[in-house]
Amino acid sequence: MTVDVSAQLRKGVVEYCLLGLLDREPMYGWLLSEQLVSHGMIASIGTLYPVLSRLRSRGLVSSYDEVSATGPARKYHRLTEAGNDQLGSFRRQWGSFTSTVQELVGKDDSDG
Amino acid sequence: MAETTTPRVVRTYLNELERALAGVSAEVSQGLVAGIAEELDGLDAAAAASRIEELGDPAFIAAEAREGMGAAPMETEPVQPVAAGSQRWYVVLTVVLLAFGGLVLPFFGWLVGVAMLWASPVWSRRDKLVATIAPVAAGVVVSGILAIVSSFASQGLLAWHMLALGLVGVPFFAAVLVSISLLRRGWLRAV
Repeated sequence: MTVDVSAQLRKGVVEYCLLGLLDREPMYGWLLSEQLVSHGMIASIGTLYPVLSRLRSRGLVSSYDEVSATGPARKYHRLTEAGNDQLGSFRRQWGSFTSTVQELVGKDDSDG
Repeated sequence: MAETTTPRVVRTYLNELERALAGVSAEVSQGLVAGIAEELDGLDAAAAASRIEELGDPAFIAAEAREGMGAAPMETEPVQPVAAGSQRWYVVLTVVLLAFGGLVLPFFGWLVGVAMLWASPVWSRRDKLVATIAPVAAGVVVSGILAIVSSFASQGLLAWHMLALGLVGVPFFAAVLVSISLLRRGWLRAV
């Protein structure tokens, strides 16, 4: 019986995907959730907030309220300096990491 | 003041969500409820209902939050068994019945799949409507077109074959296509 590999992989990288999104621009929860759900990284907004909470407690993300003239007041989340460093470190390692894994697991002979 | 202008559907949904989040850490549950409340803020009842439909069942969101925290069920909270409709075997069985049930037991096999689809919280109402209506609508439209075309043809046997294709083949292919989409969405949301 095989385990659900994709769920394990998502859990391993979802924090960095969230940091990557926040590196582009500060975002509020719903927007972050929509992006991550549409890319299949989380199943629902329920998964987002525990991840945000962990990142905040480690000082990688900070939050602030922003009042809009046209829409509702929202809580935005942005990268901290430490979050930026952590994302940079991940980016540097990710390429070589995936290459190594690719080399070790090889190709599936049943493909093609 | 905002309380009086907030649509009932929003108040009900947020209350249900708060109840479902019992036992989840205060930071996560408050952030989650506030994040959803701000998205629903200022929407009229119809727009809010549509957003809520996208969000899905509060129990599902709360289960995701608990799992995301890596939290074992709270000792003070009774363990909620995961409903069958939220499990992956259910998702697969439903999709298989929708796609192929009609081949095993004409019409009724598909109908059982539709009943299971509507009983599960993992799909949105829009998903359910599309999956239910699309095969029937595709069959009706294509059969109608074929009936018109074949009425001009003199070969009766060919006309019957074309009609059979429209009535059976097209709904089947539509059901298979819809089922593929349902499987992907359901698999991600199931536990």
